[in-house]
Amino acid sequence: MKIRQAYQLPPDKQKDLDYLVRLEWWNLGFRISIVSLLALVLGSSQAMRVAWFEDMLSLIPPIAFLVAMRYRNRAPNEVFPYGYQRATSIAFLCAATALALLGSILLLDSLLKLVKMEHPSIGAVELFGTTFWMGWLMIGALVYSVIPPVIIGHLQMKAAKKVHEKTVFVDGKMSKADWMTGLAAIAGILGVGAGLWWADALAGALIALDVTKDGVTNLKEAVGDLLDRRPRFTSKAEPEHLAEALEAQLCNLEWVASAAVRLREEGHIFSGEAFVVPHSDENLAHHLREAAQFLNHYDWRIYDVVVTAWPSDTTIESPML
Amino acid sequence: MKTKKGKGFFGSQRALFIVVVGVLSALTLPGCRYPQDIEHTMERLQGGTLEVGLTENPPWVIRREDGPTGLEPDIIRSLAERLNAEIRWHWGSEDRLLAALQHRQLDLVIGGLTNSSHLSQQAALTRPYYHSRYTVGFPSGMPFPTSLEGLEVAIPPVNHIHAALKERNAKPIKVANIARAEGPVAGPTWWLSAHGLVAGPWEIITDKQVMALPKGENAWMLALQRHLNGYANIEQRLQQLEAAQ
Repeated sequence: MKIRQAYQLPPDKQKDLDYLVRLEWWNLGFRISIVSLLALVLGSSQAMRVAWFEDMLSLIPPIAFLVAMRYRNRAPNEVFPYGYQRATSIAFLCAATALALLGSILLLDSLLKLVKMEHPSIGAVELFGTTFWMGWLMIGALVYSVIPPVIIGHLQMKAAKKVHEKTVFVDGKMSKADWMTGLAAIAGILGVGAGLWWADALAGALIALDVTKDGVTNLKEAVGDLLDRRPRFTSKAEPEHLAEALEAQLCNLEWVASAAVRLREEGHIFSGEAFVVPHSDENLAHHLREAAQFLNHYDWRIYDVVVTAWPSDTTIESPML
Repeated sequence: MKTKKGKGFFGSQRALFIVVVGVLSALTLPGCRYPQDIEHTMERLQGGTLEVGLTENPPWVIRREDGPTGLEPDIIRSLAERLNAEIRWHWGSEDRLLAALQHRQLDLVIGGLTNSSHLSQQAALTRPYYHSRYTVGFPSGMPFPTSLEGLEVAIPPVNHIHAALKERNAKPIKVANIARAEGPVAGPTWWLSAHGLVAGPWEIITDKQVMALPKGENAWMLALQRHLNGYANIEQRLQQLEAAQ
């Protein structure tokens, strides 16, 4: 059996990745502090409850990433000859499923509260000898809950783009948009304070809708990855034009008459097949090996492209060319 | 190219931010008194009538011919005085009173209620205003044992501490008239001192005393909570009430 060689990141990218891992640990730390803080002031406000669940869910992506990082650098072996690159994609799928499911449950729950016209109670607390409305404390906690994610989210997106870590990139994007849900929850609590019973459940429903939307978007992305969709840039929805670039490179070789390439994403890196029609069969085996080596060093994200030769009477159809 | 896009993104965020801040301040400014009740209980109470549902449960609520006494009616009377409100008392079972509370026929239900999840589903509960610690008391002069292990402890025939005592390997013994029991007796600290017993250091269970309000009446809740938090010497008061029985 032919087992793949282990993938090695270029040294500068490895440094970027180390930074990203550190960033994710910080992210996890802040997330845990937010979840615990919100748990302390969690009253019977629906908006607050949904925001809290959202923050709990936001623990999954950094944990999934950090866990996946442990596994995916294992070298391919006899049981897993293709390696562990896809560990991140699986983690991503799990996180997205949880997000979509819980989001829709919370949405239903909030809508039910609206239909039942439930009056939310936000009681009083005694702190430092004075008794005041619990809502103020909740708002304080919510304000804290929006600040770190916005800053970390920004850093995450920048760092994740460098090393093509889509899971972290999407997580960063979501964290950056998180301040909206925090503010929605604050508006819900202030609304209850102003005597509007529907404000809280409505804010809860809006946040839940946002969670569901995030979940569905991520689910699409994760399923696309696992279905070997055409590779994409981290930051854009457009397909990556790496396959065309490789085809052009192959066609530039003297012995190649025509070439076609297809690529897939395996987590953060790309693999695929190249089909070439040579001018002659002379020295073909050597040519093929050289071409494969050349392609595999063309871009740092390319892991393993297999080159196959076809006889000259075939025409290789490439929709990309 | 990248920075330009970034600016656009932040630009739209800033616009949203202004909108949200506008909405928030519009919500905050008109009612500077935060929070407000959803069904305007506080506005109605001031100079109006406070509808209180109560269940007999001495010494929290004691039923007398000339009206209710006990710890909780006293607390509510002093609050009503502050609010310049009349009180109408409605006796009934806890179950009925809670149903009436849900239909907003009552403003408050009392009767030595303790914090529980089934109660908080039906009503908005105050924070516990008193923690009733159940422990084992001994006649004065009798030394405390090091543990409750194997200790015979008198308990009333109807109680909720039997299982907790068993867990500590004590031997609970049901006594018909608990006030006449000799030797160690289990009960709340105020009860033990009212009967001349010295409370031990153990905490067998703790009842968290609360009152029940209609859901969503957050200003009324805050007013009551402030009053409860400012009410001192509850333990002493309970002792006096129990001793007077």
